[in-house]
This record gives sequence, structure tokens and C-alpha cells, in this order.
Amino acid sequence: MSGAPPGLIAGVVRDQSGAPVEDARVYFTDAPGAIPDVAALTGADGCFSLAAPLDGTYTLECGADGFAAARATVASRDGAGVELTLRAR
Amino acid sequence: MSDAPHTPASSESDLVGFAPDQPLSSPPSEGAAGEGASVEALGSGYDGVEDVEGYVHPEGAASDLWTPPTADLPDVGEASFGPLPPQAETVHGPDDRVQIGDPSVYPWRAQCSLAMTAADGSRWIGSGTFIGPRTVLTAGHCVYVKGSGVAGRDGWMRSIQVMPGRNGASLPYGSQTSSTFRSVTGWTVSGNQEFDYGVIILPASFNVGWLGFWNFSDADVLAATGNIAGYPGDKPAGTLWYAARRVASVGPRKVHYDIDTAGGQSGSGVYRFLNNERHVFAIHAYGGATTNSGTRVNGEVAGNLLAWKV
Repeated sequence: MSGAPPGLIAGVVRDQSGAPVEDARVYFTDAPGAIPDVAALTGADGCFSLAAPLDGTYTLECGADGFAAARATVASRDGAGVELTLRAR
Repeated sequence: MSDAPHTPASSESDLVGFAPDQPLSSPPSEGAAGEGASVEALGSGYDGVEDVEGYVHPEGAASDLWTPPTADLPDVGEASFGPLPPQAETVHGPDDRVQIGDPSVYPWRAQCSLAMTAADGSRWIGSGTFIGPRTVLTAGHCVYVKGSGVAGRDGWMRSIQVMPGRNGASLPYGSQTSSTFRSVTGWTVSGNQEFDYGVIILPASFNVGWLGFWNFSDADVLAATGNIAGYPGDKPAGTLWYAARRVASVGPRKVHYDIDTAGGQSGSGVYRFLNNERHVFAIHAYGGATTNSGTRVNGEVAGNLLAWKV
């Protein structure tokens, strides 16, 4: 995973069939410092992008009603192309 | 215009701000909607936490736990700006949050779910607290995006849909969408989290009531139990969750506490009880290593809120 500008973590949320999930909530649960407590909603293409202002490792989580939450741990310097797959409960 | 960081900034040209001769608190109101439907606090021995079914206050009686400080307490927020900032984790240990079963009654209906659309069309969720019939207190980063790293995203939100008392798909008071916001240059120009606060001005009144706010003293804030209700992203969409804990530390512009939150709860008012009334003393904004934090309602913040309140 590379190609994102420094300080940006971006990716896509899909379901088990590979279809993009719209309106999934994506937010950090761990970060190298204090982080704004907001959540991004994915677009119709399942895509999201979150600012990662500090160098280091971030854990992001996504959730959508009817699915179990999915997690990924990403270094801020490798923040492009994060894939999160939601599995139905 | 002043260069001071509390200088008001607005999505419109009608800048208004703090006049130093104004009082620095504002009383709450339960509003006209559903009169008689409200929730009493568990006041005795707890410094005021809400009486919510299933909620167990993790600290017991505040009077049993609070010991006055014998030395100056550090402002934990300063750690965020040091060379080795701590890791952030917004739920610390056991998750104390409980869901509010009926957010349509006061004080819950004075909390609102926010659906924000940024300048680039990206969509976000946050929380807010009514401080007047047309005024919703929230974090600065909920009304103005700063340092996103995405072309076209920074700046005032394009619009915010405000949904008081939301409970999943149910909107008991409907919703309004606004593009009129206020913040201060300490956030909109400098991006300094110590100035991360703002308000949403609604086109029309909601009769849901509001919380008061107050620039309490350091000692009063340190002795307080902070209460937060908001709309976190890690729970079913649009559901309201509540938790309370003592304040961990206070600085001139930040308050730190170990109240569990998650992404989506930015903007919730952090409030305490005084004479069985609810008064906001901070605006929740950040997750941190061992504590979360909000922007303190100090004199400058209270002054601006008074000037902005409609």
C-alpha cells in the first residue's frame, strides 16, 4: 500500500461478495496522538479517507448495521488502498 | 479584526463575538416539546449523574473518591503537542456506555445527531448539544475542516443536518439542515485543538430545550463528574449513548476525562449538575491515550457562545 500523501489514510469498505458498502462508519480507535472523535461515512463506491496528522500506526474500524465491525492497522506512511471487509452478523 | 485566537469566524459575513461586559453563563431550559417528559438526575452522592436504566456509575459516589489536589495538576493536553505523543484510544478499559432508550425526552432531546457534508462532498457524523432554540454547540472540526490532506475538503462544512433526539431511523422532532456556522480563528486559521469549538445556527427553532453552560473555576471543574451523551459510530446508526466519570485534569483551555466515547461523538457537550440543572463545561472533541478531552468553556468561550446564542 503506497501512494497516499503523508497524513492520509484512504481505502474502501466492501462486503463479503466484494460489493462496496455505502454509509459504513469509519473511525480511528488507536492513533499516535489525540485524534478528532468523528467518523467518516463511505460513499456509494465504498471509499473513505481520513486525515492522519501524526506519523505512526493507526487502527481504524468500520461498522454498518447488520455487519460485524472490521478493523485494520495501518502505518500513516502506507495509508493508501486500505481494504476493509464487512461480514454479515 | 483582532488576531486573538478567540476572534469569531463565521460562514457568513455577520461576525459577532464576545463583549467583555457580558455575563459568562447561560441557564438551561427543558423546552416546550412534550412538557412534563424529562429525566431526573441521580443527584445524591454522585455529583449528579443521569438516572439511566442499566447504567452503573463506575466510580461510586464522587464524595468518596474526590481528594483535593495538593499540587498543580499538569494539563495532559500538552502531551498531545510533545515529541512523543501518547496513543489515542477512546474507550478505556470496560466500555461504560449505555444506550438511551427514549431520546425524545429532556435532557436527551437536547442532544443531536449531526450528518455533515464537507466542501468536497465527503460525509461525516458527529454530535451536538443545544444551548439555545436555534443554536447547537459542537466541535470546531464539526463545522470547519482543517488539515484534512484532501484537495477541496478544508473549510466550512457545505451543510449539516441536525437531528435532535434521534433514535435510529426515528426522528421524533424531524431535522433541519444548516449552512450557517460559527467558530474562532484559533481553529479556522491556526487549527489549534485548544480552540476547537463552534456552533450551528439553525434556520428555525426546535422546541426541545437546551443545556446551560458555565465557565466554572478550575476547582469546580476538577471536582465535577462529567456527563456525555452522543451518537458514536461504533454503535447502531443514530443511537444515543451515555456515560459519566470524574474529570481527570483541567488546563486553561482543555478538560481531560476518562469518559468512554467513539468516533462520531465529537461535539457532545460535557456537562455537570448544579442545583439539579445541567451545565456544559467542555465540548468533547478528541480521543487520547488514557483520557479523552474537550475544549473548556472558559471565559472567552462562554463569551462567544453568549454572543452567538439565538
